[in-house]
Amino acid sequence: MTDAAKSKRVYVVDDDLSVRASLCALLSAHGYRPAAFSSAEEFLRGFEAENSLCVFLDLRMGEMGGMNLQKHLVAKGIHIPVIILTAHGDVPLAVEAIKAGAVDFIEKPASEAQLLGAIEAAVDRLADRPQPILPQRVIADRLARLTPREREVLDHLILGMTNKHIADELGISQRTVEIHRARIREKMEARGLSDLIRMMR
Amino acid sequence: MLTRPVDLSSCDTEPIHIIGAVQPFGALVAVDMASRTIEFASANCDAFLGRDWRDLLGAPLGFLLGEANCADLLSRQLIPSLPDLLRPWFVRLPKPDGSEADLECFPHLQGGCLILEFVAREEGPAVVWEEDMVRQRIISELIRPETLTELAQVGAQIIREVTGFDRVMIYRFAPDKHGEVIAESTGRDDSFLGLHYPASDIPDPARRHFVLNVIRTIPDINAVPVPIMARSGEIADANSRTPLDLTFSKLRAVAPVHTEYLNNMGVGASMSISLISNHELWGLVACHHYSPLHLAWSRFRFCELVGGTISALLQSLENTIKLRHSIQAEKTAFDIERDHRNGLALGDVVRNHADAVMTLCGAQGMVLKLGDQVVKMRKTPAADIDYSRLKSALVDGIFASDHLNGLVPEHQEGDADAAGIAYLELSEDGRDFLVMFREPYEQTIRWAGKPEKIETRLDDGTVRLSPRGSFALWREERRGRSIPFTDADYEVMRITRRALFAVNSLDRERAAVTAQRQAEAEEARLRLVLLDAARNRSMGELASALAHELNQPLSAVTNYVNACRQELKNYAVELPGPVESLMDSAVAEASRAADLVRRLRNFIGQGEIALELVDLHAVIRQGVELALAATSDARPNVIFQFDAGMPVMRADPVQIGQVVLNLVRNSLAAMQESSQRILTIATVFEDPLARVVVRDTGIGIAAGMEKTLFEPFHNSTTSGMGIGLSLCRSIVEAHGGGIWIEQVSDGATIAFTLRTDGGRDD
Repeated sequence: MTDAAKSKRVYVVDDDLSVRASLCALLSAHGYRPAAFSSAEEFLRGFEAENSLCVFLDLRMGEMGGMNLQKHLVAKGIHIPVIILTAHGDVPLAVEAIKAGAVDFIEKPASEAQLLGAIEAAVDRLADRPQPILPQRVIADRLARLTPREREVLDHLILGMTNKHIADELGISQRTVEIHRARIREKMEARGLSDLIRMMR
Repeated sequence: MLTRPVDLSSCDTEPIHIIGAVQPFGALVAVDMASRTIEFASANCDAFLGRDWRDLLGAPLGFLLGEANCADLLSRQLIPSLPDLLRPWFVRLPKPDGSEADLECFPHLQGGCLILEFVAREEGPAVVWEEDMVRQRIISELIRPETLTELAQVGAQIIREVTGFDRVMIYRFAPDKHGEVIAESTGRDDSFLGLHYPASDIPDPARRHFVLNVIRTIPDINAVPVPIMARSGEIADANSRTPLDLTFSKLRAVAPVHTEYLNNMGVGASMSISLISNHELWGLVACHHYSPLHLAWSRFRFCELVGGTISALLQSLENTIKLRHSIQAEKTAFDIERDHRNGLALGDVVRNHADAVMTLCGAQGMVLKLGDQVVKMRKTPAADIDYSRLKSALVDGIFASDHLNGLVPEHQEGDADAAGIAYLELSEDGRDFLVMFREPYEQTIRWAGKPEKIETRLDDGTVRLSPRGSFALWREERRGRSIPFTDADYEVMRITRRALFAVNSLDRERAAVTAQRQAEAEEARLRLVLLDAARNRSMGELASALAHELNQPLSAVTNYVNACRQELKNYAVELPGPVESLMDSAVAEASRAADLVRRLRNFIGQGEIALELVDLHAVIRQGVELALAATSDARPNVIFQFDAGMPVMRADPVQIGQVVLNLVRNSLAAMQESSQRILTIATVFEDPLARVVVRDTGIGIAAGMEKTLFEPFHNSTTSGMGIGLSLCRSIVEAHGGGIWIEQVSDGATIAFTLRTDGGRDD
């Protein structure tokens, strides 16, 4: 973690005060300079594009949700790494967010490691360092570890389907889907869905 | 003069009652009742009365009869009545030569004329024998038969035995006036039994005479008729200024056409007795002798009596048969209704009783049509027939004709299976009916005897009809026709139809009730599906909302603890003993709680969107109807303003119905107190979006509510958890659309959009 990075702002946009405050507290503790906003509009008015490290966006907020804000930023040509936070677990939206260029998609409550990892990824993005793209060969090796059923579940996952949907589709229980997902993450050495999506892009 | 050439075409107009002549076996004198003067006398008076007709004309009646006989005659019943032979007037007349003539006289009034017909009186004591005959035969034999043909057969037998005619036949006239020989007694080899004659064989004037004058005798066909002279010196026939009406005459001369007809058959003497039932000519006893036959008048009287008895018995037998037939029909109707009560459908009931119904109606085949179901039984027409044309001819739901071919051109002439048709309507709307068919008449005719030559060809080449010739003519006339439908048939059909109609009405009512029930069940099911979806959705929404609401603080807790630990580390605080692990436990517990919430949410599920091709407008109508059905409020004025260009779209009809249901329900609640209650649902297609606007005239939406209205647990109504609109939002969003409130001055307007292509790019 460079000091340059630490000197930049990490924005937190969330309409929930306790989430906002607690995240800022955590980020501060780790040496970042967080700035909090309670809405997308407020953020747009108050943020400094030059001095941005990344922005944590809550997916669902009053009028303009995280997704819309992300699209808005993209449309305006503002290159600020976006990390989507959600308390809903909307998998389809996660897929969409990653496709739209979000650095990561994190479900609340997030672990410390997830949050810090996401910031690092954002720093890499900002430094124009491509995220470590795995060689196709490595991905192929990992995919080869999957059973046909796991591969099937993976194919459905990256389409943005929910566990329930996949379970219905494949005629298996949700619990089984969860087990498959854990195995897939393990075998593919992925931290989460966003990694999987990136690998399978 | 009396042998005018025969003109068959003039049969019906022949004035046979003013023929101006009598048969030579009696003499006729006619008296003007006002002046008691003899105005007419047959030219043979001399032979019977001993006085020349020229002496009689213009003379007073007393001159002929003597005053005592005159008084006796005038005291008698002189108006013609039936039976008229049973009151003979036996008279002894003084002759100019001093001798007396013992005569039998048949006096009757005709117009202003008293017509006296004199015949020679019979010798001997036959009366006793006749009374014995009456007792024996009529009482013991005639009353026994139970069928019309049996009765006719016994009658023919008795008459032939009493009279000695070579052949005694009994005709029966059908409603179309054609005749059929239903009984015959003969000693000859040939038989006319079973023959049919065209109606034209007996012209209408003759029929009229048969009714008025029940017995008619022609002892010698070829006897030269005797003219009846009028005072004017003319013959009193149709050409005279004073023709004499011989309607009730017993001696009336034979019409030339009839003479020829009988001659063609080789008949030398004939007698006929009318059989009258219910004041109509039911039939005829026709007696033929192949040479002249002079019978005593007492025999005629006896025959008249037997004829009258047969008529009376016929009437009662016919009524009995009709009644028996009706009873049988009622029985079948009862059986039909009973089977139906036992749960059989009409189609099966008819199939079970088809033979009974056909026998009752004299039919050989049927077609039953119930809705789309068509059942054919036994003999039916080869061609498909459009029966709808018959409907206009229905009387009380029944129509029958012996000539199907004359009604529906598509019916093939010569169809051996169907010539006559009876149509019974079985439903008010005319969709259901029973059609019965009668085979061609020809096929039903069974007659005794061998076929014989049909016509007689004379030396001059002219063709004369014989009875067989008549039969052939009749057959030609009836070609393609069936046995005609009688009143008795109509009665049976009425009874049958009444039962079938009632059963069918019940069936249809049952079907309607079942359909109604199914519709209701379907509606209830739909409502359940929607409610279920709503509940599922609501639960999902609730779970989602709960997850959100719980995850936020859990998130905060986790962050705070992690921040705390980091800060302690930042300040290099030495953590005492278990503090580090206690903090880890706090984070782990928060994580576990989040996990629980996630599982709960997954377990309940979000209610997946099941896309299919739907007609948005139909879905909207359904949603509206369900909302209206669920409220006890009076139905508001509902206006649909639908974009006719709306394409079929990919959407989840149940979920979209849910959105409409929720919005309309809110509108209805908002309009409860409104004086004007108008609900408008409009759609606009803005490719690729379908926009739906729900507008009401209710209390409207409080200012400031717009932002939070679609959030869960933000409740603007007083009932429910307030997740209805939040639910709408998630459904609409899942369809790639949005939902919002439109600013309006009164009432509320909520609009939402849906992607017509399903919203998601899957």
